[in-house]
Amino acid sequence: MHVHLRTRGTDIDYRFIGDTPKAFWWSEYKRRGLTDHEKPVIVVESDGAGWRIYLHGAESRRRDNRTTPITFSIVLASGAPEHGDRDDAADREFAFRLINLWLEAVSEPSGRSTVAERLDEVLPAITVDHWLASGVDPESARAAEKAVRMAFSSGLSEPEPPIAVSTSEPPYRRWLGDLSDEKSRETFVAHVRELLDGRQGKALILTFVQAPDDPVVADLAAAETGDLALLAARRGRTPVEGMHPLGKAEPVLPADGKDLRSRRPRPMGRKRLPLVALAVVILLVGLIAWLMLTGTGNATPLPALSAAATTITSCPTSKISPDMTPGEQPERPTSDPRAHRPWSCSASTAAAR
Amino acid sequence: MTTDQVAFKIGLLGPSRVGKTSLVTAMLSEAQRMLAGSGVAMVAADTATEVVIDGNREALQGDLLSGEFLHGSLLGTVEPTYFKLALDPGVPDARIDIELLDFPGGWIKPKDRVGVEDQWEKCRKFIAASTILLVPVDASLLMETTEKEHLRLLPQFLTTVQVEQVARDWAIERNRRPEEPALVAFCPVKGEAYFNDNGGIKNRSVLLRQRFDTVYAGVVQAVRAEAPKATILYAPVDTIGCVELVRADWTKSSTGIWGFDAKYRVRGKAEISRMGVDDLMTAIAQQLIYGKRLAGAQESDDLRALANRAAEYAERSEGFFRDIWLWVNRERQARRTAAAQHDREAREALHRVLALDAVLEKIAAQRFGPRVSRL
Repeated sequence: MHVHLRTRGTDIDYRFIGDTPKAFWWSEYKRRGLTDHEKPVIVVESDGAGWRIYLHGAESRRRDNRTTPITFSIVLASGAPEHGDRDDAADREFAFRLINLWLEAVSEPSGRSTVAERLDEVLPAITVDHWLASGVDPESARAAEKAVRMAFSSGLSEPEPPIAVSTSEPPYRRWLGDLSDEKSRETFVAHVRELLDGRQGKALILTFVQAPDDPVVADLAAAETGDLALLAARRGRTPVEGMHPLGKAEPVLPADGKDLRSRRPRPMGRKRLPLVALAVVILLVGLIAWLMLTGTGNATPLPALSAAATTITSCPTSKISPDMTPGEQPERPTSDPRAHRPWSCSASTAAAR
Repeated sequence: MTTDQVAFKIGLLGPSRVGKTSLVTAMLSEAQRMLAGSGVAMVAADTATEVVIDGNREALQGDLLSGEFLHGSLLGTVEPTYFKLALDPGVPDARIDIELLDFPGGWIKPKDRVGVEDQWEKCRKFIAASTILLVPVDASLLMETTEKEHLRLLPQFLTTVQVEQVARDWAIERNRRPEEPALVAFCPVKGEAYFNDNGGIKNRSVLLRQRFDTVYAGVVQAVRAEAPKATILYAPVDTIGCVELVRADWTKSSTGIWGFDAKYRVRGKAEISRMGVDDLMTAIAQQLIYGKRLAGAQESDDLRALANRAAEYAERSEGFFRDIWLWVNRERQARRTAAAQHDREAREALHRVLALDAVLEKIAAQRFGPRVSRL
């Protein structure tokens, strides 16, 4: 798992400490009029094999040189499973716990949040100033990641509040609720757990949305495949009551990356059957005619067989990239194993006569 | 030249915490009222802009209700924000789309944009391509810095060296397009305490102007040298109005980092009373409508030429038998219909240009307030 921390120092403006993500993929949601990533938000995306998370808005005790409050952003992205990732389960648990605490802070913005307290504990002003002054520096990036992990690892001095997760099956796979509604938040958390565990979909807090019938929500539902757990969070809204189902989902890709639709052959259309039968008859007649005209009575030797063995090596299972924008869709797998992940697989082919 | 589909760009240039977002909020909050007399309206053109501006206004209102105004209540900008606006000059089909970029002020300093160079490059290009450049100036920093050791810090806090460089790039680009309008407006903000025309007691506006002239001389000269035709305005703006500076201190942290802390209190009724925004909006509207008028005039000329060609083609004689044939197969009538359509479009375009001229005349008749001066 990759952890990026963004904050500002006393006299250095906002930036990621040590290492900047290659793309600010979360800002696409602002462009689409869905959420303001400079307000307290949670953005979780999963393509079934990998996930990425953007969290923003925890307010530090630190102040800049104009006494302005300073905020934190944290960006998490799942690691590459082909590297073993023994800590994958631990990473998921870490991310889950962090999102829960963040949701608590976002839903109750008044007062100091646990996330901010914990981050401030491990990130004193002098340390942050030093890291930011280092510029692009892997050491600072590692140190910041370590600090974030430490802040939200279990066994800290402060007891954690119990995580409220809906235990029952969510009533909808694609829905919109309200950030102020406890049941919606619990279901949101349950969805986040499933996304981290490999379901495809998105869990988003939408600061520009106030009602299920906002056109941007319909656009999002139409454009996105997989699960959708959305919490309306526009300021001054009338809270959305209950959970509202959104449009039908495309078939969800399971974690093995195979499209369910590709597993069973599509029934042939009735209109095509006579054409196919006619083509077969013509081919047979042609073959018989050719044999009668050219046949010598001797059997034609069969051509030598070519056997091709294809080996797939170092093929990552995640199709989601930390740099993909939300508009980009991971490529659909096909029945050809080499076509599953053409962007990063290396294949070797050996032919034998 | 700009077309109907292309948005005019407005660039904001200033250091972190100078008040860029506050200035944008003030402009958009007051746009409707300020431009009402001219028949021109400015509105947010997308939900994001509308919600962000509403949020900023609510934060300011909250400060006022609490009785103490901290300029820090608006959190700093973390990433570039593109505000989408629309200026309606009251002329059919002449809506002017505007894009305004607000970016983390620290990025103006090379050491603060490490890791985000590509994003800064986009911001820089946007600013260079902007028709209008707004430069917010921190009036409290200018006025409350008197000690020598603090005066030395002003270029660092106001980033005047970097502002000069970016402003110069903008001016060079503007000079390459002499047919397009160009406006740079220096807007002292957080200066409610230095004017007595909006609830303040003392008038220290002359001193403010002197300090500005001294500290920003390089920036003004750079623009004047590189874009002699550009309009340069000095336009102080009260983004809140009903606040008074209580205390301003330069402090040094234990690690040796200097800071400037200004405390404000709410004065009189806790009601926002913006001043100077109308002048700024008038100047902006004038430039943009002028730009639209130029684009419209070009379009009108093109459409008139097209209409003339279509009319000539419709009536052209192609020989006795061919003319009969064109009449029989109704081709002649089709050509005449097309020519009439082109003529209608050309006349509509000309009408738009004339209507925009009328709006410009009306705006030009509005005089700037005493705070504003041309540089």
